Amino acid sequence: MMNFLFTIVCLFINLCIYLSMRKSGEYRSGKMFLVSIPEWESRDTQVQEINQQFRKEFRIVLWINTGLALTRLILPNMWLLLYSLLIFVMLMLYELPLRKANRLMKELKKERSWPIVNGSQKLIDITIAAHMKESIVRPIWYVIPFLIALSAYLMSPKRSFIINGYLLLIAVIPACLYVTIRRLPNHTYCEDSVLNIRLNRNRRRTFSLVLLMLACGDALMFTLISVLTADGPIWLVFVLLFFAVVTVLSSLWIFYHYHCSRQEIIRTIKNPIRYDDEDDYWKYGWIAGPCYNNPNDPEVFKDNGSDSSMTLNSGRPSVKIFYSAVVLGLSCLMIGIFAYPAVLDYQHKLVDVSITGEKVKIDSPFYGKEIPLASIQKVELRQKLGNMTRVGGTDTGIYATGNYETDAFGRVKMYIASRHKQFIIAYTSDGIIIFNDDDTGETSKLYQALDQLCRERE
Amino acid sequence: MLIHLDYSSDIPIYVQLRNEIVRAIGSGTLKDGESLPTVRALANDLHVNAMTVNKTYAVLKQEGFIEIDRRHGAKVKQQGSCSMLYREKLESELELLAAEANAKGMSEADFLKMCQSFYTKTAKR
Repeated sequence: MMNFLFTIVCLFINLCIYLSMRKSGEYRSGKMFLVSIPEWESRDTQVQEINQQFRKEFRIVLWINTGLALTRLILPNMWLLLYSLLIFVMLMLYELPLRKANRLMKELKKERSWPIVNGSQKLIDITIAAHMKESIVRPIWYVIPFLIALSAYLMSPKRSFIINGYLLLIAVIPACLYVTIRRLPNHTYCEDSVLNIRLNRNRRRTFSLVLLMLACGDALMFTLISVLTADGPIWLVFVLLFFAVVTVLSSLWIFYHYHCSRQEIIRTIKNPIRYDDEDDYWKYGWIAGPCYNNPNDPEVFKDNGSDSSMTLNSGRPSVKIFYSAVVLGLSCLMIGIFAYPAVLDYQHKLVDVSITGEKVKIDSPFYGKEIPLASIQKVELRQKLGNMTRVGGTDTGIYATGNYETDAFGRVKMYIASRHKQFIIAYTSDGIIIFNDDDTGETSKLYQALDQLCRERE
Repeated sequence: MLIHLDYSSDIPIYVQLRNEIVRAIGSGTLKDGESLPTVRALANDLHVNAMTVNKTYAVLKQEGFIEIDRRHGAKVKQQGSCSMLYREKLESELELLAAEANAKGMSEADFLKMCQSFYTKTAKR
């Protein structure tokens, strides 16, 4: 079932990438395939041939990637890591026809001496700024997603760090994004200040509205999960689901409406100002789509011809810092989740299980549990646990904690060092608990001690 | 109102910005009493540091083109008659330009014609 779902998700992502990138050959913002091209040349036979060749190759890649996505069904035992690498390969394959089209267009540009415009000169309409104050949603509205998340917080029987963390994130992230939208630089489209003001106001209003809708949708989904966890009324679940879907659909509609109105206004512009950056600074990355690297260009956010996204100018120091922070953050996360536990496991310092007083104490930097000896009715020692599905908790491959559904024992609570194949199954008054030490010898000794205690009690 | 900046030019950005605003005031695009954008908003739109815009406004204020009010921001100053101080400054700059034109072989008539054409192009205030 999981393989099937995984495949469906991959196929969906594959289709989304295809649909979003196949329009790269359209003439937009004075460019095709990231190459500046005069408007009359966009209809030229050779240019159209490059476009048609690109579309043909892009379709072939779609079918190849569809086949690759289906390998999960054909080879269900394929390692997840290998399948993840396959997804990267799929993304890279999409870039090949784009890079080829970009190269051919640049060659054609050179051959035909299309105008090369220096991207360091800018025309800026300074009257726009004065009209942007009322263009975005008032900050008071952003309290709504926080209040929704707060209701989830109050409803939860157990206030774990996840819930506390989410409450903090739902307050901080929309606030940061709101400030970013407020500080978005204005874009000069033409010499008509009225149109420039209209386009920029629409852009800010749309972004701020979509942010509000998505924040509300996210908070509603989180509340829905909290209600499910707390065994809340089913009617509430459906109400929350309904409103979450409404917010997502609203975001899509708002964005679609913005796209249509923007295109309509831009079509009326007779002499658009083109931000023609030197084409040598634009290229298609291996998996990241359009990339722009120009240290001489002061703009951080670059228009890449798409209505729904912009490209970061990786030549700017602030963008380099941002990328470094992301890589550093992800690295810390990977180290914290995988590498550090693996090192501890290797040193047999991952978990220590001992009988202390009247309790069995499971002590690890990542999890902990105390089981009263009086509650343990029976213990077993096993080397295999059989098939199991995680219902809620963590499984890093080094350790596994949380609630699991197993074929052999039904629903259990797990606190195990996964790579040490000696597991104590404790039948307690609170249900079945499976645990072990990161030293199989210690686990065996512990089992014998617990088994002895249970027999003596009988 | 459009301004043109060249980020790769040897002329500092604050000088280019100052020149563009002066051109706009001279041509009537920016009228007496009209507000200029705030420092932060203009810096954001131009993708420059706020200090650069601050410096531009300080220079324009010193030269008497704008006035800055803490509550209302920067506004184009109503220009009265040409001050003596400005006359002296213009005289020294024109003297240099005239000397350069003469050194380069431009005739007096051509030089005056050029000056007149530029002044005429600029809208009368």
